[in-house]
This record gives sequence, C-alpha cells and structure tokens, in this order.
Amino acid sequence: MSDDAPTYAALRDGALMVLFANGDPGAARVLTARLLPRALSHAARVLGDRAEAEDIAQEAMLRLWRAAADWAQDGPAAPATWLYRVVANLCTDRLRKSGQSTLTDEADRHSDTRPSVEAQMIAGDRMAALDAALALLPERQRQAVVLRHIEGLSNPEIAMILDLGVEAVESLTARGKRALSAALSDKKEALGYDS
Amino acid sequence: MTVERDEEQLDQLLQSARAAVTVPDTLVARVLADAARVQATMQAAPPPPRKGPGWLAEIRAALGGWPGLSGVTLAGVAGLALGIFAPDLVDGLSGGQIGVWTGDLGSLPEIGLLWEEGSDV
Repeated sequence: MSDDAPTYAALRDGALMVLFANGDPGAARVLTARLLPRALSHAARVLGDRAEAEDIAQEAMLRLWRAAADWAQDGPAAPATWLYRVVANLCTDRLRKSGQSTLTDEADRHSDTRPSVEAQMIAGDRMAALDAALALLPERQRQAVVLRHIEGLSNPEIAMILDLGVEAVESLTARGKRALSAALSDKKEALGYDS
Repeated sequence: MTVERDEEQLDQLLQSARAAVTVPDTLVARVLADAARVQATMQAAPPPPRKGPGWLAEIRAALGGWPGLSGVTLAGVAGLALGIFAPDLVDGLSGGQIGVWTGDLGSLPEIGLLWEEGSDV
C-alpha cells in the first residue's frame, strides 16, 4: 500500500468507496484507517462499553462496505456522516435493548437529583469520569454531545446524523454540556484540575 | 473558579477524549476481513441483465444478420428496377399472367407513360 499511499491520500472518502466497489483492495485499508477510529470513538463514548463499541463499529463498517456497490460519489451524504448515522442508530438500538435508553429530556432537567458520578469513577481517571458523566445523559443528548464536542462535527452534520433540526441539536448540546459540567464540578480535584 | 475556567477544563477533557480511543489491531483485522468478503461477493456477482435487442435487431437476426438483410434488399431493388424499366420482360417471364391480372394495362402503365419524351402527361 505504501507505493499507492500518496494517491489514496488525495482521494476523498466517496471516491474511495467507488474504488472499493470496483475491487480495489487498497481502498478498504484507507477507509478503515480513516473511518474506523471515528466509529469506535463514537460508539465507545455513547455506550460506555468498549467491547460493545467494537462490535458496533465493526457492524457499521460492514454496512458501509455493503453500501459501496450503490454509492453515489457525489451523493448528499459523505461516508463519514453516513457511518456516524449508522453508529448512532446501532447504539440507540443497543441501549434500548439493554434498557439504558429510557431517560427523557424531561428527566434530564432534574439530573441534579441523580446519584453522584463519584462512586462510578476511578480516582484520577478523567476518561472514566467523563464516561460516567456521559452515561447520565439522555441517549439523544449524549449522542449530540459526543458528536459535537468529542468528534468535532458541525451542528448541521449532527442534525443529519440524528435526524433532527439544527436548533434541536443546539439545544441538546448546550443542555448536555451544562449537565456534564455539573456532574463533574465536584470532581475537579480528583481529576487533577484546579479547584 | 470561574464559570469560564470550568468551561475551559471541560473542553480540554472532551478534546482529550477524542484522541483517547485507540483501535486495536484485532478490530482492524476483523473489519478488513469483512471488507474482503464483501468485495469478493461484489466481484463474483453476475452483471445486471442487459436490455434485450430491439425489434429491428430481431428482424435482422431472423434474416441472417447484415449479410442476409443486404441480400434481401438487393433482390428487392433489382425486382423494382426490372418492373419499372422492363415491364414487358417481367410480363413475358410470367407467361402473360400479369397482363391477365391487370386487364392488359401492364404492370405500371401510367409510370411508363411518364418516360415518353415529349409527353404532356
């Protein structure tokens, strides 16, 4: 692949999808290197379970490969956006099956009454604390916060992924971030932040 | 601590989370194996059925393709030329049958008149 790396690097994900459909083996490697970390990160932060996140990421990538045959290079959705959407839906399904997606936005307004995340976090482990705090958010809010503030997507992209309006996404991310801040506010010393 | 400071620290935590996920090689291998399997299926799949030949192509094929179609056309043109330029020959070859059928008007009497020089027709 090293000989072809410069060529692949110049190609957008959509073009690589077409190459993949045409039998190019290198396209799969490049797409995997570009998209799998995002899918895994998204799923891991939303589910809070690494093994399940790996299964979701693999399943989402499998669906991406299968979609390649009918992929329109200049279609409305970029492969990364398409993949985020698949991951979001798979995570939603997984959380519903496990009964962890019953929280509503209304319930979130009373999140101050929820148990402290302190018992759930490992002292000094910021990522564990973040995951614990994220787990307290309603599923849609969690998805929006992860996509906006961890994956770095724009609000219109998130709106497309979650099938929401842009204003709804702005509301979800703002409330989610406030909730995260509140959940972590008492843990600053344990996390090594200035208090 | 100010609200801004809290916000800044939360942003730092979220940004560090972005880089925190590392993809295990085993997962990469599983994903690439899936890709190879799907790709092999795509390559092995039969091409989509082509649209059938049109009715002109079917007629051409029934006549033996282009060579057959050329022969039929040539025979038709030759017959038409004979009928126009030597109608009596055709009538003779038919044993006078054409004259009987047409009431001795010939095969194309009106057209024959058109070729007569000085005709007012």
